[in-house]
Amino acid sequence: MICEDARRRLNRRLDEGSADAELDRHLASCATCRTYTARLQLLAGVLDEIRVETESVACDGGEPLNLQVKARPRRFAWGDRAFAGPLAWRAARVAAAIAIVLGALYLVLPLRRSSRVAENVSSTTVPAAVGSHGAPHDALGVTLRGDSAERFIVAARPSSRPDVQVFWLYPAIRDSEQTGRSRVQ
Amino acid sequence: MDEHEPNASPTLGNEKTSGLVGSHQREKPNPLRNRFAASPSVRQRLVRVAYRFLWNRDDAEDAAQEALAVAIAKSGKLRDSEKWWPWLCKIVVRQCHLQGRRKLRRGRNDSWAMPASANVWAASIPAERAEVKALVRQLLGELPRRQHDVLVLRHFEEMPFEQIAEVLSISAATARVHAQQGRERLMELVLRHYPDGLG
Repeated sequence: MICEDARRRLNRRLDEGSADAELDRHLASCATCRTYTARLQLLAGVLDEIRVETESVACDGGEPLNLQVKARPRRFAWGDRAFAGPLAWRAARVAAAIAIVLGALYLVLPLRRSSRVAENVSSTTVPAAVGSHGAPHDALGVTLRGDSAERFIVAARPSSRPDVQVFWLYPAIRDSEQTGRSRVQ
Repeated sequence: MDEHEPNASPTLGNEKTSGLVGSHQREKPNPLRNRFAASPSVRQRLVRVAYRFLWNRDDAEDAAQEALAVAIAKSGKLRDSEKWWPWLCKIVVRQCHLQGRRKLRRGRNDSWAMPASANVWAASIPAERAEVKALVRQLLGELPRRQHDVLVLRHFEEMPFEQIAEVLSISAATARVHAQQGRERLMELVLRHYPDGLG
């Protein structure tokens, strides 16, 4: 008998308590397997003692188990944090959230409006001169090219014509002194 | 049938069911449901099994409670009512594993700090024997899960391998192999802690 087979039989003997003469003969001649047997028996003894110690764990006559199914803890959600705590804190959090949203809208919408205006006037002839009172002049028409909002700023919006916006243009001298001409771009 | 026999099924009787059955009265009646709810010994056995897996009384009660709730909810799936105990053990073992994972996530560690002085294998003094037992309980948790489960069910619950096979959904031969490998691994771990081992 080889030692591996002897170990398997030793474990079976530990579990079932069966007699095995061939195993006994092997143990008589193998010190390694005798050492293994001693350790196995000690380990089994320790495990048995642990079993006895824990036998009375649930038998202390305590209160009956509450058999209500426990709800699983919810995962974090914005609603849980925003609406938790005293009323004042909750109101403050909600107000802050609303303020942030409104502020973002305030920032986004004017940019979009100005870009739309830029697109609209990119090829439109508009009055360029502006009087101090803000009323538009028809003396000079300028055709704007390009759609960059940085090329002009809103100078006035006459109350009589709320749909009209007057822009200051940044003049860009393109031609040199050679031609003597300049163009507003 | 005596409730205290290992494989005896609890009787229905007229005892109170601690309000559990009342909460399920709207549902279709299931004869197994009362079986689990009516017997305190079933609950105690479940707590004991769970304790031997988790080594913490509170966690064991939680796991047993969850297991009972799952068992009652799924009692219609039990095909052979004579095998209710292995079926229930399977549920509680699974709950113990889940409980153990939750503990790991929360960072709880119930390990015992062991003094490195005792000669483990020759321990005969009760104090050293207690240290040996504490060490073995700790090292059980370091075994691979299958080996750990088989050893706990075999040595602490004294289940036959055929029943262990049903609980863990493996064959009896595989359960025997796991038992042998678990014991050898346990011996190896003990010797690693105490290299001066055999006195």
